[in-house]
Amino acid sequence: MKDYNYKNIDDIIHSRIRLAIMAVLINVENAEFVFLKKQVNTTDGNLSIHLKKLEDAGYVSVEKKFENRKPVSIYQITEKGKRAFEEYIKKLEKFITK
Amino acid sequence: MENIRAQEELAFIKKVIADTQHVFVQNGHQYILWSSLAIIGILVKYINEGLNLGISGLWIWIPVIVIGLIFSEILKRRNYNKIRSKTFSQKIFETTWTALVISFPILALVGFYTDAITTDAVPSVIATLLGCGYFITSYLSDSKWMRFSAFVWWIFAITMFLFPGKHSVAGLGLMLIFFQLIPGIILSRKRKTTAK
Repeated sequence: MKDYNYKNIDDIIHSRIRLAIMAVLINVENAEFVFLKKQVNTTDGNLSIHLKKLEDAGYVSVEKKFENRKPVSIYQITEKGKRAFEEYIKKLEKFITK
Repeated sequence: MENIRAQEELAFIKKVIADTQHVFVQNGHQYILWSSLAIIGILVKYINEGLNLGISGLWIWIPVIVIGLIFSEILKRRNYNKIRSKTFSQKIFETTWTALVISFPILALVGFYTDAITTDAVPSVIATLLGCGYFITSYLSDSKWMRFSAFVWWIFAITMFLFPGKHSVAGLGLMLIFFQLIPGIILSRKRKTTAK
């Protein structure tokens, strides 16, 4: 399989919503669920599912706590996530310039 | 076909990144804090002069700056916990105002102490710097009002440089009320409404 083969691309990131989440998180120190929802422009349920996939892959980490008796989830991209995202971009660029 | 898809993906990523970088939140608390403290300092200065108390200007402004720095740090920490999503614009905003907060005492206190800047010129120097701060903030927040207030601060600075006097400190006090304290309160109320 050649390096620029489209099928060779990271399946975890390769989804519009997960890609958007990663692109948002790469830009900020950390982000609240509400902030991500606004930036990614999706529903609570959909965002949760995709965040869980990224979390399971070790691409994002989450800190859950209560503030004024309300649950708050704060997400952060991990080093593994950063590397995966950079790799993903590189592959896309290689594919375009091949 | 796949090449086009890859190009679309990259364009999409670029758009999300650009959108995120421009997200910018300000709650006006720092404006309220610093303008309130400066107004109190100006009032104490006038009371000191009016009643001939003989307190040195440094003993008025050093406590104001120290109290300001302590409360500013407390507000920053509280604000950080509330905003969390620190974007590029947010960092530029915070860096700009931190740089200005460091510059004010250097120019006002050190400048005054070394006779490099006269007492009458201090309000003009501060107004010039505030104009810079508001001008940068206006671009980050895309606020026409902020841009307008930056020019008002600069016009005030030029006027006070041309016509210096004891009134320039009182002028600075009025400017702080109308172009820092009131906008700060408006921003704070706006932020509370949008956060609900």
